[in-house]
Amino acid sequence: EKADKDKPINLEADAVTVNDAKKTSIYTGNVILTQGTLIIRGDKLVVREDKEGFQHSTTYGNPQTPSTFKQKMEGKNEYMEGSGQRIEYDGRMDKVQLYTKAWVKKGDDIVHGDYIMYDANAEYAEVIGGGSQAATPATPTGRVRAVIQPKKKPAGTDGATAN
Amino acid sequence: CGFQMRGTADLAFKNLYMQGAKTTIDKPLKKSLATNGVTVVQDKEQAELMLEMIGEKTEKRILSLSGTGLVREFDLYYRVYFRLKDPDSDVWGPEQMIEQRRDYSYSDAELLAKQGEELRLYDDMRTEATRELLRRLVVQKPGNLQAPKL
Amino acid sequence: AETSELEQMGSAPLQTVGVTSQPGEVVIEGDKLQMNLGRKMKATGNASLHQQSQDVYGDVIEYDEQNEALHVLGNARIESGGGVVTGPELRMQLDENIGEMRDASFKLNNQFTGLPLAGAANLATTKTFADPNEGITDNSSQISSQNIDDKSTGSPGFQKRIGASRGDASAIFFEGQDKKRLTSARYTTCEVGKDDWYIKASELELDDYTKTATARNARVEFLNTPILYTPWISFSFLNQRKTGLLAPTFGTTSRSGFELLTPFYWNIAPNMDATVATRYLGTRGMQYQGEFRYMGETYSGIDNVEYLPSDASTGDTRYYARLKHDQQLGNGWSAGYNVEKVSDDKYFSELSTRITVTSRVNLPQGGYIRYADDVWKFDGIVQKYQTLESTSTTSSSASTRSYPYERLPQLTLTGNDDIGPFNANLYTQWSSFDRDSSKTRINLAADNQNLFTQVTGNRYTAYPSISLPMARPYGYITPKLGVHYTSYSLNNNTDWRIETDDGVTTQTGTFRSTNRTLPIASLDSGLYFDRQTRIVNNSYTQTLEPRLYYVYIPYRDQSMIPVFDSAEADLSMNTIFLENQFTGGDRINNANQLTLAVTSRMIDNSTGEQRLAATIGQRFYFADQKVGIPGANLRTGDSSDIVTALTAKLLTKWSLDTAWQFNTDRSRTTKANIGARYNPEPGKVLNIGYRYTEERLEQINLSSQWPLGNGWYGLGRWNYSLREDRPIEGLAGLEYNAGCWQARTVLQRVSTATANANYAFFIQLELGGLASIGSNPLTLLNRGIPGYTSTGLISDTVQQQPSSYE
Repeated sequence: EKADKDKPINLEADAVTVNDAKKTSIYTGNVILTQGTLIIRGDKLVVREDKEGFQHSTTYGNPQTPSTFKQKMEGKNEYMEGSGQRIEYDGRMDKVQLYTKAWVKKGDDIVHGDYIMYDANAEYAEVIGGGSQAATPATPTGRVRAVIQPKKKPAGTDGATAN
Repeated sequence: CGFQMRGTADLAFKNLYMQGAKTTIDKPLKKSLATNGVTVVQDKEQAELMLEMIGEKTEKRILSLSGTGLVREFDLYYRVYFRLKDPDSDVWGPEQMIEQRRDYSYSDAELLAKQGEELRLYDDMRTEATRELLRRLVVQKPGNLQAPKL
Repeated sequence: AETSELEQMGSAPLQTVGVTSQPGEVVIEGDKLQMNLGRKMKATGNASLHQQSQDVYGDVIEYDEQNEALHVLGNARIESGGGVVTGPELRMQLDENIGEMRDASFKLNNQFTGLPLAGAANLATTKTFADPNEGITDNSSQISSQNIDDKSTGSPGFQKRIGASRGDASAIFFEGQDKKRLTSARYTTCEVGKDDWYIKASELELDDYTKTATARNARVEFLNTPILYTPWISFSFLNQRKTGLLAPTFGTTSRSGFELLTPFYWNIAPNMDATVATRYLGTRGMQYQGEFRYMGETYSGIDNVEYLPSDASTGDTRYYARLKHDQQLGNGWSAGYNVEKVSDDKYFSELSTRITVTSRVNLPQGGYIRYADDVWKFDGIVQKYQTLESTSTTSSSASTRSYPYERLPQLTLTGNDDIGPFNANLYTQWSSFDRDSSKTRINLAADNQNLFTQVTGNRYTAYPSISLPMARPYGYITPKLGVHYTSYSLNNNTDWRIETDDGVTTQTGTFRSTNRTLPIASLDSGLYFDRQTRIVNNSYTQTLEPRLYYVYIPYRDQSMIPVFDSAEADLSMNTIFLENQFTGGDRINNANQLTLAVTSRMIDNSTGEQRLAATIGQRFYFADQKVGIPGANLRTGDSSDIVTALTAKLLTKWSLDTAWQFNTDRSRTTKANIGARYNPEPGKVLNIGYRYTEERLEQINLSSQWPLGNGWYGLGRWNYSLREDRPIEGLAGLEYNAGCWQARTVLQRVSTATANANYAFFIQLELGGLASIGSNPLTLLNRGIPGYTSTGLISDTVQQQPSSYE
């Protein structure tokens, strides 16, 4: 949701090291970042503030528990969530990039890939496959794989509203 | 010379379930099964062997012609098709066929009489086919059903 | 609440990752994916899209989620149940399956288990009307088995057909789940790289559900020469249903010159079809043919008509008509009629070449009503015949026919039931025999003897009998006692005379209304002995089955009883265990006779199959024959011929069927039939037959289908009558199987019943079981060469190992 950007960022972690000179802080151990409806989790999170004061975060997960993010969609009561070994969030551009064995789920639709770029403003995503080494149970070939549920359900589901 | 009177066949199964097409040899088959100690059961669970009658076919062919193109002999065929299955397996055995053949002399002058003879020969073939089908059933051992290689 | 949601979310990614697939779900894959969430998606890099039973592949796939529109660019390929369509570009409305593909090619795989053939509700049987003579069928077999006669297995089990067809088109329009419409299309069943034949059509519709294709202004090109044009043709991918416009049939016969038959098939409904055909005959002119077939759950029928307005060589109108219908009326009742009529006696001989047609003399015209349950059977018929007079000049004895009596009606009621240990049987029949007063001739068994009488009248017969079957596994004894009562009430002139062919009267007499009652007693008994034997490594049960059959019937003078439907059956293995040697109801032989026979069988212990059965038997008479047909000579000897029969199905793919009969008094062979067949695999069969019956026939019968290597097969049949020292039927042919097409050419000579011999030449080209072009010798080959298999049906796997083919 767009309103998230004006919400305070709340961060929990086992430990944090701050480097004021570079305006970066590194949180490690069960890191949880929440900002409005946006929630990002991971083993390690690096937050950096750019000149204009926008926050950029990079979250690292591990093969067992990859880092994840979840955010409510603008104007719909559907959630957008995703997971990857590394998630980079660009506060200024409101763009999320998920790396290696990543997946992003919107409502019932889900897409798997080795690199996923999601631009929340334009509601546009770009997914690139990774070949065999990026294989996951959901996409054994490691290629991009999207599973879209039929939209034309009877009236009443918001998905059917013309955009 | 080794021949003994045939005893009651020591069958490997006591009751049999019949299904499939209604054929003209169902009744005599059930009768001769009974004389060999096999009861045809109504419900599948009790059956130790399943028999499906796939169908029967009669065929009349010209066997020989006279020099002037008149029919001299006819060939009659009676074929019955069936297959077997163990009650607990859901795979039917291969389709088996029993064929009987009779030939009889024919002349157009005796048309009506020969029609009577034809009917009698079909009945004769049905009786013989029933005996042959019984022989095929009697040797079956549930769990290891056999069908003739073709 | 905050943390619980986080906990739950944390574990989410590992478990459910959209694993279960819901109906209508679309899965898209590719090297790269660009998504406007909820609206459009674009997958690039050998992309693929899967929905329900449909898979789409291409370099780039654009999918609009909102209106489920699909656009595939580059190496587009769409695979659905029936087949695969490929082309440069595809536009498709996924939900309604409406789409279009330019310059596309298609491949249809047709793995399809056909409907069980016998009794299938719809006419799912191959129809070979292409053969000009096919219209007239044997009278005995019903509709479904008769149509299968060109498929040699004939088993009514499931018929699995595997076929593949392919082709291309300037555009393929997807019109719904199973429908595709192609413009300027090509279709063939030859595998890729083998372009021997194509059907080219300006429009071709493919229906995956019914596996049928319909082409408009189509042209068949064989080895790139156009051989057939047709405005409209529908055919089945699987040759499962009759084709639309059957390919024209051409051939030549000595009787009618060049022939061209162009049939048109109208597929009215799944259980109803009609075929109309024009048949041009070189020396006779244009003949019109029509056939209407229908079949339902409880009824089936076939109506044929052939009409030749004016026969150039005889100047008159010639026609043939047949109406046949059978109906199940429920709870045991059934009824039907079968009426055939032809305009003149030589119709069949001159206008047909198939011996099942050219040998026809009596055309049935009648109807029936039947009832049957476990105990009672009722059969009411009205039956008369059109008898074709033969004026063939070859032998005078055949020049004048005898006319069977008309039965208007004949009512037969039989009952058979077990009462305690007894089996009671009742046979009753009332018949009214009639005959045109001008048709008084009856050919008698003895050559050149004819009985002339105008007698007609009614006959009532009642024959109750009771038997006590005592059956045990080791044997049986069945005494039987019955009383046979018959009464005749004759009308008009009842005297008779016997004349030789050249008109000399040798005997005269009169028939009288009378009745006849006689007891019939018989005792049938048999024993079964078994022993185990081994041959090579198979274990067999050899049986020894002696049988003894005694019959006693006192003598009653029956010389004044007319002969409506009786004839003396010649003694053979079929008749040595009979009470009455006369068939029909007019003569009951006096009997005091004992028949002895022994049968030995070799039964395969593992499958119960009978490998060999040999029987020898003889009948011993304790009374001379006193009852006979007028003019017949009566038997006096006290023992019958020795009758033997041997049938064998050897493991070496040989099967044997022989019968030999030896007359002890005159120590002469009276009957010798030897039949051997060697059929190691489908497409390779040799039949050798010698048939001899004293003073009746002596023939040699050789027929074979033999592979000559790389797809060629030789076909031959030679049937020579030694007794008449002339060939009866000769057939020689070649068949070539090129995988997706077969060609057959057959030359045939056949002597016909009512005119002298007829020569026929067939050419047939069968395109992948699709449309058979040229006259169809299949039905002829099936009759001529028992065990013949059309090469189209021989699966190519047989070369490696013999397929389980009966």
